[in-house]
Amino acid sequence: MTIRALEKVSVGQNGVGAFILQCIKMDIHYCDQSGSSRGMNSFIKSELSKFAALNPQIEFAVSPRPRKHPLIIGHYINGKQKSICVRNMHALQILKKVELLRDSSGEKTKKVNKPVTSINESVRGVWSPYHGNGMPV
Amino acid sequence: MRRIPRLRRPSGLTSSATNISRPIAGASNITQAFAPFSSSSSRPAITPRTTPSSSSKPSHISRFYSSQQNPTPAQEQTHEPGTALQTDVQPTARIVDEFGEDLDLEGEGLPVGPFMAPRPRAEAARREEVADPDYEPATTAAGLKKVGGVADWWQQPDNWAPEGDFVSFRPREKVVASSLIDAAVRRAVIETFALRQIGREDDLVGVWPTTVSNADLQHLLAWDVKCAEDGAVTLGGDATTVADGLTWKDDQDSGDYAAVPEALTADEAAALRETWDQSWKAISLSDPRIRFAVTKRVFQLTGQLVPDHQLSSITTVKTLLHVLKKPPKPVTFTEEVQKRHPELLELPNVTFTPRRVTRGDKEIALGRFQLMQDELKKRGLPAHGHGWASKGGDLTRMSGKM
Amino acid sequence: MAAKGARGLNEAMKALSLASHTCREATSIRIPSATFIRSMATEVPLPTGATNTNSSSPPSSFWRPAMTVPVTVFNFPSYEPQRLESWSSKHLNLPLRRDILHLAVVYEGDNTRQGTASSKTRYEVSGTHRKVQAQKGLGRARAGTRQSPIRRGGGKSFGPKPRDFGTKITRKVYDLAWRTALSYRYRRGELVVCQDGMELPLPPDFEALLESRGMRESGAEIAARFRAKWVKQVLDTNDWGRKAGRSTFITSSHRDNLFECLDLVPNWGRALDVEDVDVKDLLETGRIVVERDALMHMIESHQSDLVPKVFVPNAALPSRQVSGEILVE
Repeated sequence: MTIRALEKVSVGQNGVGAFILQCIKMDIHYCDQSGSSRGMNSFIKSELSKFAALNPQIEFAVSPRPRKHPLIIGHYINGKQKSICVRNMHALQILKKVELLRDSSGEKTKKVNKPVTSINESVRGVWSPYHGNGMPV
Repeated sequence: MRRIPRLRRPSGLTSSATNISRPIAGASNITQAFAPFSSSSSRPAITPRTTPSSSSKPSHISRFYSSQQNPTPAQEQTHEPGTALQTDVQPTARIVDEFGEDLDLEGEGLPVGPFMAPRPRAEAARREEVADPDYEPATTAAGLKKVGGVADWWQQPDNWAPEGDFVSFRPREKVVASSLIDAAVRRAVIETFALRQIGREDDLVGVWPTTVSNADLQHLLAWDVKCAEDGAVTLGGDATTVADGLTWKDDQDSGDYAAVPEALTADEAAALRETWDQSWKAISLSDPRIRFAVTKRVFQLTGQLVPDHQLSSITTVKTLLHVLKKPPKPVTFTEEVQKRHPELLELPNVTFTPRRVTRGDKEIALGRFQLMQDELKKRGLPAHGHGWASKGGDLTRMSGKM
Repeated sequence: MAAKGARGLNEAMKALSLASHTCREATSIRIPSATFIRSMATEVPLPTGATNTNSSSPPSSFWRPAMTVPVTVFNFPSYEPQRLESWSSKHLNLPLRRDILHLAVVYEGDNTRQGTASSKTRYEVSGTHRKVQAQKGLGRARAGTRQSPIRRGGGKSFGPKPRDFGTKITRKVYDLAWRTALSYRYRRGELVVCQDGMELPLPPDFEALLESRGMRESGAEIAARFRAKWVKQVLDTNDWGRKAGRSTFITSSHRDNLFECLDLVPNWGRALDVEDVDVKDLLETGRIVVERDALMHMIESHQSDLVPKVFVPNAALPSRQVSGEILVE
C-alpha cells in the first residue's frame, strides 16, 4: 500500500513566480605586485564595472590580499561559500568564473547520475508496510 | 673614436671643485693639492692650514678645528687614565723623535681635498716618561672608552665633504613636474635657436652652463617665441645675450659654493606657461643638430633622457613634450582605480578597501568586536595583539638571536 | 591568363615580403616598377616616383621601416651625450624573437655545465668480490657481493659519470640572438653606449689621500671602502645603481678601476670584458652600459646571417650593413 499526501496546488520553485539570485556577495581579492594577479587587475579595471552594473543584487567587495594569488569568494543565501583561485587567468577567463559563481546555487556540487530529475511526486506513491491490508506470512 | 676623453667645461653646477671634468683631469690637481704638504715638512707642530683647493671654503677650516677640539680615540686613550693635564706636545714630539725629522707630519690627519684621512696611530706615553707622579696607566680595559675601527669612516660627514661628491651631467633629482618640463624645453629651444641665429654651430653640441638667476630665467622664458607658418622661428628677444650666457667664463668657476641660484618653482613655471603663445609647440626639431642640442640640454636641466629609439619620431616641440611627459605610475592598484576608473567607485554595490581586510575588520563589521574586547578585558587578556608573546618569537629563537 | 595570374601572385608575394621583411636585404627586394604593363581598362597612371627604389624617397604605397636607428654616445662617468651616430636596423632594431633568445640562452647554459659529477658503479667500488654469506641455511636474503647496488656501501646503478652536456646551435641563429638581445635592450632604452676608453676615474685627491700616513696605517680596507662609496655614488647619480636595477658594464678590455670597484659593490652592478659576455648577460640587470668599441665588436663578430660567405663581384648589390656613422658631433 502506498501513502499519498495531500495534493498541493503548486510547488514553490525559484524562478516560477519570482527569481531570487542565490549569490548575495562576492569578495574579490587581488595583489598589487605579483604577476599572477595581472589578469585580475585588468578584470577589475575593464570588466568589473560592467558586470557589477548588470548584477545589482550582488555586493562586490574588492580588497587586496598582498603576496597571495587572486581569489574570488562567492557568498550564498544558504550560508555557504564558494571560492575560486584565479591565478594567472586573464580578464575574460575570470569573467567566466565570476559568472559561474553568480549562477551557482550555493549547494554542494552533487553527482547527477540519473537521466531524469524531477520534483513532481511519484505517481505510484511511496510504499508503506503499515498501511493497507497486511500480508499474511 | 678618440680614446682620451676631450676635456670639457664643468657641467657648471656650482664650483670648480664639482666639475665633471675633474676626475678626468686628475693628474694636475694631484700635484697641486699635494705640493704644500711635502714642502712644509720642517714645521714641528700641527698648525691649522688649508689646502689651496679649500681656501675659499670656510667649511674646511671649521671642520679642521672641530676635529682638533675632539681628540681622536688614540689621543683620548693617552689622556684618560692619567690626569687631563697631559699636553698634546708630548706624543707628537715622540713620534717626531722616532721617525726622524724628514717625516711629513704636516699632512697627517689633515683634509686631503674634500676628504679627511684618518689620524695616524699615536702611542700612549710610557709611565716613566710622564712627569706627573699621580699618573697610573690602566692595566685592564674596564672603564676605558671603547673606540671603533674605520669601517664607517667615509659615512661620517666630517670625513667626506659634499664637495667631494661625484657630479654628473645629469642632475641628481629627476624633474617630473609638467610645468617645469615645459619650462626646461622652452629654455632649451630658445638657447639652441639663439646659438643658431648667432651662427655658433660648434657650440650646439657642447656643454652649457646652467647658472642663471631666477629673475633672468623668468625673463628669458617670458620671451614671445613664435613659429611662423613656413617654420621660421622668431625668438622675441636678443639672441646675443642668451648666447653669451652659454659660454663659460672663468670667474663663473670660482664662485662661492653656496651661491646656487634659486631654482624655478613649479608654480612659477605654471604661471609663465599661461602667457606663452601656442605656436611655439610647432617649432620644428627635425634638424638633427638642433634636436641633439635641445634633447641634450633638456637632459642636463631635468634628467629626462629621450630614449634613442624615440629620437627619430621627435619632429616638433610638441612631440618632444609628449615623449617627456609620461604620467608617473600610480603607486598602488587602488590609487590607480581611484584615479582612472571613477565609474567603478560610483556603483552602489561595489566597495573598495585600500588595505587587506583582516579578521578584526570582519568582526568590527559584524559588531562583535566590542563584545570580544569586553570579554577579553574581563579575563585580563590584551585586547590587541599577542600581549607578552612577541611576534615571530620562534624564528628569532631558532636563528640563535635569543 | 595563367601566366598573368602567376605574375599577379608573384607581385603580391613580393609586396608582402617587403612589408614584413626583417632579416633579409631590403634593398634586394624588387619593387614593381613602371615597366610593368597593366592590361586593365580602368588603369590608374602610376606615380612617377614609383620607379625610385631609393630608401630616402620610398613609394608612398609601401611603408618602409627605417634602415638606420640613432644611437647616442655618452661620456662615461659624466653621462654627457657627446655624439649621435646611426646604426643599422639589422644590428640594433631587430624584432623581438623570444624563441631565438630562449634557444641561445639554453645553448649557453648547456655549454656552461661543468659535467664533472661522478659516482662509482659496482665494478669500480673497491673490495673483495667474495660471496657475502652462504646461499642457503642462514634464514637471510641471498646476497652476492658487497658492491651490489642494493647494499649500503655498494655501487650506484645509474649514477652520474663525467660527460659533456654541450649542445649545438645553428651559428646564424645564435648570431641573430645576439643582435636580437641588443635590439631588445635598445628599444627599451636600456642600452647606454659610452665612448671608447671607458674607465672609472677616482677623485683626483684619492692618490694624495692614499699617500697620507693615516690611510697607510689603516690598511687596505679603508681604501676599498672609499672606492666602494665612490662607485656607488657614481652609479646612483646616473640612476644606474641598485635602485635602478643594477647595470652591466661591458668594455673591450679589462679596466682595472672599473672592474675592481664594481667587484666591491655587486649589488650595484657588474663589469664584464667583451670576451666574457653571453646573450644571457645582455638580458640580465636593469641596463647595459657598453663601450662603443665593445658594442661594435659584439655586432661584427655576430653577423654571420648578414654577411655572405661567397664573394659577390657585383658592386651594385649591397655588401654589408654599415653602423657607426656620425650624425651629430
